[in-house]
Amino acid sequence: MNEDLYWTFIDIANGLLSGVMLGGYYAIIAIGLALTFGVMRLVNLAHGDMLVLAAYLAVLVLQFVPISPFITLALVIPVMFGVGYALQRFLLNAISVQSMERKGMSAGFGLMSPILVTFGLSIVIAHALLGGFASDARIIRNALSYSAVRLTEDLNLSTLRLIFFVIAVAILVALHLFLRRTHAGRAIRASADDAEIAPLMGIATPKINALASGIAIAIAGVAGVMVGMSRTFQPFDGPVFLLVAFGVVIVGGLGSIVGSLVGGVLLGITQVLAGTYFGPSAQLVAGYILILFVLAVRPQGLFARRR
Amino acid sequence: MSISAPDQPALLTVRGLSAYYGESRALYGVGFTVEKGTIHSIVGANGAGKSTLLRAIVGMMNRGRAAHTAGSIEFRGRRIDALPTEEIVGLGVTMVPEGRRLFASMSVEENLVCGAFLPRCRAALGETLETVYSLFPRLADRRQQPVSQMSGGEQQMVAIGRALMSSPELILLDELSLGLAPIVVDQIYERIAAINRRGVTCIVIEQDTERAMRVATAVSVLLEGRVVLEGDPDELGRERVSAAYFGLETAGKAAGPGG
Amino acid sequence: MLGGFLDRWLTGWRAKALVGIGLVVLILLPPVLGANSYVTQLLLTLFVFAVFGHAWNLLAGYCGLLSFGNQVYVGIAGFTMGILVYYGGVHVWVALPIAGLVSAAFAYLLAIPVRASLIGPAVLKPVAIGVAVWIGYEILVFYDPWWDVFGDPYVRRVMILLIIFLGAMPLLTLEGAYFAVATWLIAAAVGTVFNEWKLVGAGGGMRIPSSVTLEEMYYVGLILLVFATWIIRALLNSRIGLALTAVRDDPEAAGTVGVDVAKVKLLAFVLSGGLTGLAASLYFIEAVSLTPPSAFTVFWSAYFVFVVVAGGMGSLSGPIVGALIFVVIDRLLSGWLDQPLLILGLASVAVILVLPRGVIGAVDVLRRSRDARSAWRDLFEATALADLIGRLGRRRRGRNGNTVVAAYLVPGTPLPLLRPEAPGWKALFEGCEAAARSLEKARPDVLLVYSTQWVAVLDQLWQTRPRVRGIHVDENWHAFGDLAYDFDIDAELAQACIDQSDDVGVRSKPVNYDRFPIDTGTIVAANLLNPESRWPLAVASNNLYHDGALTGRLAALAVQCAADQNKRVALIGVGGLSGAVHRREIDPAEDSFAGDADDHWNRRLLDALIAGDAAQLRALLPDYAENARGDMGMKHLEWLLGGMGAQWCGAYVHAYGPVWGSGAAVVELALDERLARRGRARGIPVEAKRRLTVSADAPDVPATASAGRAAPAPKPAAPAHTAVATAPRRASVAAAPAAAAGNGVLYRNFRTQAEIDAQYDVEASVENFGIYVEFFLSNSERVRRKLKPELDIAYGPTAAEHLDLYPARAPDAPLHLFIHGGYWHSLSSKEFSFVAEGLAEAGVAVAVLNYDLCPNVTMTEIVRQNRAAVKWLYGNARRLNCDPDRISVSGHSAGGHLTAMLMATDWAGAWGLPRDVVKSGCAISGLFDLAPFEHSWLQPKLKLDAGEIERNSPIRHIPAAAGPLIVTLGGGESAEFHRQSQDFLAAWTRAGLKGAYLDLPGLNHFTVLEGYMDRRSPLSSAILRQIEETRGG
Repeated sequence: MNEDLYWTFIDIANGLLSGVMLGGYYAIIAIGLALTFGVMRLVNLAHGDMLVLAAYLAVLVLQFVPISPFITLALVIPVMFGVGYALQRFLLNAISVQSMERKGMSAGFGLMSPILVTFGLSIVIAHALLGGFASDARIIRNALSYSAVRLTEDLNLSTLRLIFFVIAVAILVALHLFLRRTHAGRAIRASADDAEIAPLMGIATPKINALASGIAIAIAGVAGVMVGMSRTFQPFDGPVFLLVAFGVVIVGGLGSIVGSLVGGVLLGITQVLAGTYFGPSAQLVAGYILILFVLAVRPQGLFARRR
Repeated sequence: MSISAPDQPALLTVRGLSAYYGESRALYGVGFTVEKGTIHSIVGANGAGKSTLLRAIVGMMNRGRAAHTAGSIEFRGRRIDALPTEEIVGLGVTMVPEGRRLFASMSVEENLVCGAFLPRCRAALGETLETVYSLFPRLADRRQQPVSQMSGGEQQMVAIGRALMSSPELILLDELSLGLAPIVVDQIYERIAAINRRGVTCIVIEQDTERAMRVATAVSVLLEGRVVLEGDPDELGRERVSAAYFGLETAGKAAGPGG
Repeated sequence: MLGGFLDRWLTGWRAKALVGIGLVVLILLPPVLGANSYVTQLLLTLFVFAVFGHAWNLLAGYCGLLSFGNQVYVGIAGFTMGILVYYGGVHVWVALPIAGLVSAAFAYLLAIPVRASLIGPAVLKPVAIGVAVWIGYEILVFYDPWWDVFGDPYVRRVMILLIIFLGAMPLLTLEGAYFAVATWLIAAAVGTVFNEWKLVGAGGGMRIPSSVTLEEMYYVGLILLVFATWIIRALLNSRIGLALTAVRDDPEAAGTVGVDVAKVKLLAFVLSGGLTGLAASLYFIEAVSLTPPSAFTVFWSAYFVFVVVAGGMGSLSGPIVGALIFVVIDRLLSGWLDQPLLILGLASVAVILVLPRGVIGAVDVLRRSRDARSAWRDLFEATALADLIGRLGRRRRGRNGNTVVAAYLVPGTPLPLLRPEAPGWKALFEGCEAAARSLEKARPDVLLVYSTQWVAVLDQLWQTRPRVRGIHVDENWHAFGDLAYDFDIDAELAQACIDQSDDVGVRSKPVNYDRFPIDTGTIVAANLLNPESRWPLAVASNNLYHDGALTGRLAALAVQCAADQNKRVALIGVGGLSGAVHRREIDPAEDSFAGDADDHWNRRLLDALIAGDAAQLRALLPDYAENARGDMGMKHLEWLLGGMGAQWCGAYVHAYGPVWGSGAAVVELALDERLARRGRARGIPVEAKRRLTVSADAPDVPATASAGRAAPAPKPAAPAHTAVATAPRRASVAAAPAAAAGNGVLYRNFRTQAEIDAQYDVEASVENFGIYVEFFLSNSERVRRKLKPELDIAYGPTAAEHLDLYPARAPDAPLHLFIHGGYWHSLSSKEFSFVAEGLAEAGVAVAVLNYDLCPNVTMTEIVRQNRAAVKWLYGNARRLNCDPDRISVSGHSAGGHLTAMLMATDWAGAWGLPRDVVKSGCAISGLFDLAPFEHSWLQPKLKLDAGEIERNSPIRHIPAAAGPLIVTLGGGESAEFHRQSQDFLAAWTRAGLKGAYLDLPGLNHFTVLEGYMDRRSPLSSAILRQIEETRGG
């Protein structure tokens, strides 16, 4: 094999590999949103800011207790679960389509109000963080950030990204089993399928929605810490992550948790390839164009069941 | 108004129940009682308010300005008209909704297991599952099949089975025969009779008066949101029931003491 | 379309006036405030953000398209301005519209393939063309780099590919969250590309140099806002506008109706883009510098969302109000806190939670609520918090224990229901509506009704027919129309009452017949309190052999039966108050109590109810029933009292007034202290004219003593309570001056002061003088409120010389002077304001005179003051908008005397006025010979002497010429009064002067004045005729 052909092959292989790894990272970011957007049809525009919040939480913990970032998850996950549960139970349930209808508002407004409230919420969180942590970029120090795994002398993988990918797959499997095997999981799926009939099974939909939201935001917490370890973040980065999450969910397909991983990988690969051939900033634009393309062709996403 | 046994109160007593969807009114002061162990069928034309009545009983009409009710509903002497649906189901009342409304993303067994979400039902989950499969053998060999790929009759069986999973004392059945072939409907009603024999009280909503009269121990005829005729099917006879069904006869309460 | 209060209010002339004024103010503001004032700056920001709001509202509020990407137009317009001004040297005011058009073009680009799917044929053709153009451009740049506007091959390729892709993408086929995210992505993509584009200074951005002043920008902003508001309003009112709302409410349905949904969305989308572009251009002219990150940031959408949602989505005036709120928060508040956007975020979350309909919607909710209290509750219910608290509340809210949740006394007469618009009965109808509203709040399960008009004789009857409906014609009031009814009966409760009525020793029977005649009272109560038959009724009959106590026990039994059936009960007692009725035809507007003292007794009953004092009420009822002939012995009230039992603690009188002479009231019995307190504060609301006319035909009404008190008159038992203490008046004149005439005769054939006093002491001549005083005062106060006169206009130097002028509507109105009585020593103009009502209604201005009284001044001085008043009136008539040549006079009692004195005045000689300045006069119950008063109880005050009597007795000064005179008095007044009038009239006509006697039968010295309150009364019409006849002057 001649030299340049080999190197283009290596470039492509590296591109694919890092694209896949980036996909895992994107998947974690998106899974939480897939649960709330896919399962509960509720758009949470503050999802990105939840990630940033978790990252700052981890930074806060690390300031006092010098432990490995992964250990901080033990605190971040319950706290974020609480935030997610309370957000749904006391704020978003109050403006759901049903409660808007109770007050004689049109269903149209019921669909819009969560979007508007979470939009306001994202601004509130971003500025609260700005107030609390000032705007300088932060990163969660950890030993692994620069190590890499060498598959062959030319093909290598960032260790961190590999770990994220494994965690992503683990979370996906756990979530899948939870939704399939447990009563609570089935209840969440039931109220997603038919929110009006679920109560006939004895399911209190407001509580179940709150549970689902708690889980989603807890997963977002995990993603937040992962993000915090792999790149610098600032209070206003929420929307960046949100666009990624939305992209993955749309590409991956609504409600299909597994779809999130595939969507993430696809998006990852597209961005990496565009980056190598069209320059760094093309990476972002390519991602946007892919999402818009999928939106235009198959709004419900590639893997979703019929909507 | 059937004469209730003097000592223990009727299983379900509805008094002066009015129901509204926003401003428009669906029910006008409906009242009737259902005795334990009986099959009470409610007959009426389309839009007479039958489904609204069932939805009100299971608390699906407490939706603020969108839909609300007035009047009282008592289950075993306790007022349930203000409770949310899940608490009413907890007390032992459930409903097979119009159009079956199964959980599309789940299989037959998952739908059935969903029916036993209540803590008190989880302990005996295996046992109730077996009784349902014994009632509906056809479902036994299709446990893992997604419900979206089943025939109308089979879906109806899953819907009834799912309701039975919460081991209710009173089960409300809304338009069982909708969209099903007559022979299938016969099978289903035969199953209903079997369920009733196990001690489950039933309220059946039916447009087909003929079938309703045959299976029920008491019948109420609903016309434009009002109970216009009530009593024992045999006593009333088919002509009076269908006359009331079409609003021809404005006789007072048949069983009540004449003026 | 969400409620838009200003939209609806801004209709018709009000809208044009308000907008006109607003514009004028806004236009004049800057020069007034001076250059560069901070307020102008704020207003400019308000205009800009209002236009932004309009653009976003057009999509979200009217089309249901929630866009989070309008910032793409902000960036595009901003940089177009930059390129045009910085490179092209174009003036900003020329560049601005161009930038707007470029934004609109970009919006059109985004929206073109409205229907086709991305891979469909309709899209591939233009894409192919686009690619061909791109390749051509690449070749051109390859040959001549000057053409490369982008300055960087990478940016060029990405930009063109992006444009082609966005052009191909069917954005408008997306809905809801997808549309929102898609627009956001587009803005982010374009922003990223601009960030690399060197021409526009890449990340560093560029400047828009301009020398325009703040005022210029202010006016351009104002023009933009007016243009945006006008174009959206025009759009909405057009056929397209209706299509817009159809699209928003139900896109599928709209499609089926032939509305070209796609075209409508396209139009709205392009207009939204254009408007955003225009506003952004103006913003950047003021801001001067812009960078891609700041221009394309998603925070712009945050601003737009906040402005529209806070103001009121879907309403035309919402964005403007929202912009105002935004400016306040963003510019003013943020001065203190350093985080403007944090506040904005919190505010937008709060707005959705608290005011989902925005400020405009909230105002609309308030406007539509019936009264203040329920308004705030409706508003609260519209918020999401209510949901939260409601859920918590539901846990605790069992039933509050007692069965009776409300109780009402309502009139049984059908007239308020059949003639709600008649002035007299309108208040009662509205009272019933208020009662119906409070009944709705009490949420009863059943209404327990007892009507005095369902009469039964043998057994107690209970309605058990499940549903009663039909048409009823009342036997008395058939002329007023028929009564339709359709309500449900709680047969179960009725049956229970029948089964258990023997507990109270009553035999009850059910009534269950088709077409059974339902009594008027029950029908009226059902129609007024339960119009949509929201609750079933249980109706009991009024058995004539049952007394009040038994009726009360029956009610208690019924309540107990309801309690057994777990039902919440509202007690309804149907019947009137005082029973006397007018026998003759009356005008509903003039309705009044038939019985003389009915009003008085009704008030005592209502006061007892308001006080909530059972003992006082029990003691009063027998007297009341007998005196005011209470409806059926007030058994319907006993029904309520029996049913409520100890719960009763007061009453709230919604309305009270006469209905064809009989007393009627809408009373809500208070079951809790809160309502009782409100009832006590409210008291008895009465606006209707309260009359004291002794109607001739009321059989047993006390006929006034016709000839002196001695004549025995069938009088009712004197009311023990008469509050008015009659002052000890008749201290006999200490040293009665020696009788003027010989043989011990004081005056004519009267020998003693007592005989004279008996004839002239009017206060003693009527049974209950207090009523009349109270009548004068309350009606005077009402008329003053009604006619809003100019009070205490001085016509002379001293304190007492003033008059009250009741203006007439028309200019140059005739002027009528009224002189009050009071035996020259008491009362004032203020007790007689009511005399102006009738004449003022007939277009006559009325001056009610006030003059100084004996013993402060002599009788002569009083006469002088009256004459001075005429002189003043003549001089100032024009100023008072009256015709000086049409002055007429009337007076009562002492005022009658003074009227005669004015008629007998030599105006040309001493006063320099036209001889006939007083065109006509009317002396009521006048006193024309003062001689007898020297020997009366009045002497100590009047201090009359022969000279005073001679100078001031009109009978002794019949003028040579004078205008027409009417002499009148109440038929029931004393003989001496009749004599004085007849003697004077005889003397008057003997002298060849025009004079007439007006007979007012059946009226006493006080009720004679009532005629003044009604323009069509005999008294008023006589005066008005006189004024008309003397018009020629």
